[in-house]
Amino acid sequence: MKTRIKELRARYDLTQEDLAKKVGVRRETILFIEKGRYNPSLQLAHKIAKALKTTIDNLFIFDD
Amino acid sequence: MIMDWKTQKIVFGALFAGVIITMVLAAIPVGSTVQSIVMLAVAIGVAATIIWALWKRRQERKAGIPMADERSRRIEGRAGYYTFLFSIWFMLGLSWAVEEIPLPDLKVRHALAITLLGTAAFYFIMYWHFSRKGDVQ
Repeated sequence: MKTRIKELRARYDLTQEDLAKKVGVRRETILFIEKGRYNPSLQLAHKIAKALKTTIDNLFIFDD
Repeated sequence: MIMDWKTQKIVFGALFAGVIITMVLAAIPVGSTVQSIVMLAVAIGVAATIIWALWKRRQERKAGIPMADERSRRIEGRAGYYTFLFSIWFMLGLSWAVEEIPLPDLKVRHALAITLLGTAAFYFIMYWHFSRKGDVQ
């Protein structure tokens, strides 16, 4: 799974730590989600999407 | 739950090392200088770990980092599961070693203390191991 989190973070000038604080998780969680090494819960995915003013399906790219 | 190869190596390595360390400690004569040094080193190690954990928690609280999130809870769950298995295997290994290896009998309080410290140490190792992996599902 790939994500557009890094790209959208850059657009809104947010660091991983800023985003982590916004969605109430630890910075490592954001780091591993960005790298595609951790699959977040639907609830967390929704929070991240909301923080980055986008939708879940725009944020996550699934390799079928 | 399927254990990956790296986790298997850590689990079985820790089990083997735990039983060997216990048998080595059991061979130290009671009341000797060596025993006093070992006990002191263990006490210092435990105290240092507790102080470090409290310091780290305080730093994170100051920085506004949440103590736990969904990933850390998953890691805790996974580490706890393996620690539970480890405690069973470790005690079985210890029971076997006490019967098979000709060393002074292990006192019950020593076996309990070693099991307690061993499982706590194993939990930290597993937590660290899973923290470095991204996927903890």
